[in-house]
Amino acid sequence: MKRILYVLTLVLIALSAVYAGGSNEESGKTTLEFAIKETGSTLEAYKQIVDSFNAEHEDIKVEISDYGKDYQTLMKTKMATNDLPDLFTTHGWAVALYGDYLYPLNDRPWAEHLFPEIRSTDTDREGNLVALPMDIDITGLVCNDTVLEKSGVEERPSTLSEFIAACQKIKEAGFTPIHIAGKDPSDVAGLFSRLSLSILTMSNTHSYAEELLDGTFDWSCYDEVGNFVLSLVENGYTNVDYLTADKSGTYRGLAQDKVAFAFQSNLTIAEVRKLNPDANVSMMEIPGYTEGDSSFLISGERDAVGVWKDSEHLEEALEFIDYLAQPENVLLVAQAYSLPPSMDNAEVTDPGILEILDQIKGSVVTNHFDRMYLPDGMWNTLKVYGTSVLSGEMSVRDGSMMMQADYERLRNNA
Amino acid sequence: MRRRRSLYAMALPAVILIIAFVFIPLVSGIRISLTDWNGFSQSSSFVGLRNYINLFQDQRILNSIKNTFYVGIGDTILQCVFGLLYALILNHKFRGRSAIRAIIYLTVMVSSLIMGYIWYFIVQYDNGALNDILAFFGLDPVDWLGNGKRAVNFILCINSMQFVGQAMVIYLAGLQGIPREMYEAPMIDGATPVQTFFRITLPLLKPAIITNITLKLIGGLQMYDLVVALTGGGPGFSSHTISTMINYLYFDSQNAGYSASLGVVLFIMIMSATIIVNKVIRRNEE
Amino acid sequence: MKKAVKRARIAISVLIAAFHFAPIYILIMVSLKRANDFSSRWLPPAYLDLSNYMEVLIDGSLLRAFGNTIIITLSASVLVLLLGGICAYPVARIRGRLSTIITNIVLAVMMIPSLSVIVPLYTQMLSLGAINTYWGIILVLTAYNLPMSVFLFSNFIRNIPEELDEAAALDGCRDTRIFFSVIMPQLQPVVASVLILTGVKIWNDYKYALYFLQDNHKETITLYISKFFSDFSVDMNQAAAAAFLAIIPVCAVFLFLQKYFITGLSEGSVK
Repeated sequence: MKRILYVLTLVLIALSAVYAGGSNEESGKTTLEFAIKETGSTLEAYKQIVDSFNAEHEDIKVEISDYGKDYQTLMKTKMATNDLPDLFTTHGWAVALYGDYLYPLNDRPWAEHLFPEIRSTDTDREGNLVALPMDIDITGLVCNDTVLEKSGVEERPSTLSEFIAACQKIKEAGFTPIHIAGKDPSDVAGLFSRLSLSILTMSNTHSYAEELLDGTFDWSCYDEVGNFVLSLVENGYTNVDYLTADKSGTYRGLAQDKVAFAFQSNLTIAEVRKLNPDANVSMMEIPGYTEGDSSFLISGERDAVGVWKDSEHLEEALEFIDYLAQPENVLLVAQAYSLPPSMDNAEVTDPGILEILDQIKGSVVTNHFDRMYLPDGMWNTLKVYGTSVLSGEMSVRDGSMMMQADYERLRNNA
Repeated sequence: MRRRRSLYAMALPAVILIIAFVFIPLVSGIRISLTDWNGFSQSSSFVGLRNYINLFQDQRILNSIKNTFYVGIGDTILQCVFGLLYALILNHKFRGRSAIRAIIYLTVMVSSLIMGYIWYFIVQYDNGALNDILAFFGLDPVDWLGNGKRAVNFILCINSMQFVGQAMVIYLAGLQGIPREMYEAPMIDGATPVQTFFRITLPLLKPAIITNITLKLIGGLQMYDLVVALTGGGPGFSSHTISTMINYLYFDSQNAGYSASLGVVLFIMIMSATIIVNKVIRRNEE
Repeated sequence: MKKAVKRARIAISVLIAAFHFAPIYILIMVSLKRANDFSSRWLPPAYLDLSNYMEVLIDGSLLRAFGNTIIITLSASVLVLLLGGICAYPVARIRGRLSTIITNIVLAVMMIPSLSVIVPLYTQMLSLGAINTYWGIILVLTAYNLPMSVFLFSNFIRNIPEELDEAAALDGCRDTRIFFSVIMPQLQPVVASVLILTGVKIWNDYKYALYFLQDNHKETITLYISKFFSDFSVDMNQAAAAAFLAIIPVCAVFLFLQKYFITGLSEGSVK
């Protein structure tokens, strides 16, 4: 028995040594945890800002945690245990998902400089600004003009029937009209959500926007969206592996001038340019429903940072948020992703971003379908709906009924 | 009696660890399974057995249970059979034998997650290595994972291929333990190699077979990493296993209570399966 | 005739080995190619470009992840061996109902899918202050790998004749003495087997590290690789290079232990 006790004591000593080595906190310094979902150049921009902040502040140290793909999973677990990082990025969900946990930022000096379009996105029902948006995310449809040209499509389609006609021509010319990366259900959901805007809310003559907002929407009308997407697949306008391809497949297809359209974000354009800097790939407006309806773009939050309202170091966290809101820092993060900044006092010189700003000014802009018309939690339903309908596990009719059930359940919860 | 007590005491450190990190969480899991907790909010309410009743009416859950057992059992059979074949071939001495054994075993050392990503390079429709072979023979490419049943079969085969080396090594160990003299008598009797195999080798390999069945069942029924990397449960929900479904229900569908009830059901199923297998083995021993 | 059989056997063995090596071969090919090289993955690149490897190594996170994984794997493996061996002795020696129950529990714990307990376990780890600590993940990995160790060790100990213990007991030895002086020296051959079977599982762990090591200064190699593959970037080739580097150490350790491994298994655990 003595021997066992002896061994156990040794083990405990060894363990406590490991533990002690693991938690060497610097005395006198407040450490702030800053969790970031974004990767690549955006993360680099944040790192740069954090480094200069740490250099300027002797009493505060900001540490970055990048959780990557599992960010949302981990954040939900942390919300469950009410143990959030002091600061974190909200990736489009500041209000819907994190709203209850965020400290209102209305009174911060920088708040008045926010563009109204983006400020409203990050403001909850009570009028609290819950996060600091860094940029305005503009998205539509990624389009390869070289493929359009080679297929004899002279102009980018501006209505859905022109879009179908273009797809037919592209297919006949031997290219893939639309690439869907269905291994990731979010990609399918993104396709449905973009086309839902076109078919259900953005038309002058055929709009259910009010019904969707006040809860009286007749979900049998959603069949039209399902049938439209299914017809794209059935007519062979998509890649063969629309259920199993991954995003790098989309990038390769666009970079090699094999694919014409992808219902994806600016990230796709950046990644395609990495593969082929000369690819003629850019963001295109989503076609309108029918003749007389204008095509449109979607704007929303991409990069935004919030402060945990129960943080032990609230003062320091707010100090960092103010630092982050300085025009040059806002610009740094926004430009890392080639997006326009969220504030009117940040001076844009980059011609590409100026072009995007012009593009916004000249066109109809709307918020994302799910963020605007659907209750929180329905993005997941849309993912299930999209993959189930496309894989044939569920009929369009049953799909609409599932959407209706979740819409009603989640609306009542809210 | 004193001897007994001090014997038990030796099991204590391990038992305490297992109780602290396995059983206590398991019990809290049962408590959560009786609520409608969404996984992150501060409040939840008691719903009794509603989660459990819903489980057995949910087509997707039933499918994931079916997949889990299909993969778990199929995996056990494939690896036990092929592992034995490999071991029989590689039990004979020839030059380069240990190199070949090592190569077959090497894949066991690779994380299933990495293996899944590698296999995605192979079975991918566009630029996939398997379709390159088809193209070489002038055949049309196939979207290998595009069909749910086929995707599950791929998961089964890839996992078996990765871990068959482990079964092989255990059989090899078993074969080494069979004394040479055991084969001498039947050789004099003029028995064919096949007869020798079934009369002598197979019965003596029983402990190795039991070890393999146990290890393989465990690996197969816990299938998670490979599915995550290879199919993500798709297309649709057709290739989910119970483990990936638990993860999905908890994190994507924000249904922690429901997710926990699936975990409990899985645990009960496995617990009873273990007891049954153990009983059968013990009966044979008597 | 005999020669033909032998040749056929060698040919089949080589084919089997080639079949099993194919995935690794593909991984190496992908890791050596540039991102914009769309040639077949079977073909080696026409150029020698190690920049995928260089960039992964220069970045530094890979080496840090290696360090973390080594600390965790070593500590947890030692605990699994030690506590598992000690616990296996009574499990192997006590007969009757209780032994059956313990064996069943051990088997059942081996089969508990980690995901079914991860939610409550996370809460518990949090209240212990064990998130983002080495000791937290080490204890969890130890607890979940102990059953395998107990299973293998107790199988092995059952084959050690009980007369040996009894003789020692008659000499007045206590159980702990018997274990350390009679049983433990004989366990050596099976240690390599337990180490390979559980050590590899600990090295390759993904699920626990994902939840309990969120601080990227503590991230393990599997976590690092999974982030690489899943961040929607186009850098699959760099990810492949990192993955290849990640599997080299375990493979090297295996090749070193291989000799003892099969002997260890045959010496007892499957007899």
